[in-house]
Amino acid sequence: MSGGCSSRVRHLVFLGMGNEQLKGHLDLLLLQVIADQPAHGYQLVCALRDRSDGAFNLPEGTVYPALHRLEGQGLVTSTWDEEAPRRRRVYRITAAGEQARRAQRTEWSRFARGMGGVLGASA
Amino acid sequence: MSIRNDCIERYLDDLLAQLRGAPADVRRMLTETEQHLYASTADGVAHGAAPDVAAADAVQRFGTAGTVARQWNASAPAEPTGVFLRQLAGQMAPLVGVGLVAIGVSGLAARAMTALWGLRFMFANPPGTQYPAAACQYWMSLHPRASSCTGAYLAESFADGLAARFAAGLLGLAVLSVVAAVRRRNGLPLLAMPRLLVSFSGAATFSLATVALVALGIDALRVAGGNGAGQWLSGAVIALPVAIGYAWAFLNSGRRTAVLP
Repeated sequence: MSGGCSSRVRHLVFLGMGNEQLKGHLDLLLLQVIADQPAHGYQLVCALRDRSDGAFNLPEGTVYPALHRLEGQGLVTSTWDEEAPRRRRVYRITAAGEQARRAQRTEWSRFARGMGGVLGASA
Repeated sequence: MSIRNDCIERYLDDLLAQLRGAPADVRRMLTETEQHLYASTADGVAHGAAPDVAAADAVQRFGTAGTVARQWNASAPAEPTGVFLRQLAGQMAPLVGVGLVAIGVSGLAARAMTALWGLRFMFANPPGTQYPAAACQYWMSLHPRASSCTGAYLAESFADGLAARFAAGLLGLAVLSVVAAVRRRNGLPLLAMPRLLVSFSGAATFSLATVALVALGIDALRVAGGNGAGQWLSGAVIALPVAIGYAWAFLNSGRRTAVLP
């Protein structure tokens, strides 16, 4: 995972997915990105924005309280990366986090299938 | 990027002032925020933005300090009541200090009004007020040059009224000195924008005080022929600018919250 955001997505106008909608899925999104590769907060924000093609318009700072909460629940763990010019906290998923991610992902897939079925049928 | 940016540093100060929780957790949150904002700024500069523009952009995308702090405080473990009360007292102490100093300054206003319009305007009771003989005797003993009981009463009220207001002002200065000492000890700037709760409380308290004092003053002007109107109006002329100051701080906080995500 690179240190910075891609230039293409960085200057996109956010598509404006409602913050409340996004907040409900933030834990799963964070767990998914961390499961793919350990990352610090800024990398996570960049990854979320890059992968969503700029659709997720959440104040970036709200990711950190979520990460701390996930750590408190034992779903992620973190350590300081002292080698960077500025100390940064790198997050890794735990076994419990991996289990939670799978469960939430299954739940999301079922929900998305249901939504797709209804919306697809009326489109 | 190792260069300090004022916009980011101000944001970090603002955030620190609003975060609750264990000191180690707060320090960690602040370190991560700092790393994030400087990394984001460096990214913006690498893509051609001017450093100040990139920093302002990074701060805006991070969310207002209030928004981030609310999320953080909501997920932080509940604090013991003692800690909560101590923090509340710490937030409200400057407001109490300012209130007491305002009372002290109103003593100066009272003095000026007395010089302009006389003791009767400042401290007199409604016309026709009768004073007990014992009280008159006491006041006359304190102010032997007074030509009447009412004159002695006014002189005594003037002395007592101003002394009480100036004492409140001195107490306020003492409170603000303690607040300044605590802020210096904690490495915080001596002057800072009050928090939303404090600015709202200040605006509400001093606005209500202004309205009440003006109403009492007008009542004294209309009903008591102006006797004693000054004691209320001298407070109102000081409470009003303080209310405006806190209202400005409150609206300024609100505008920052509204403009940024």
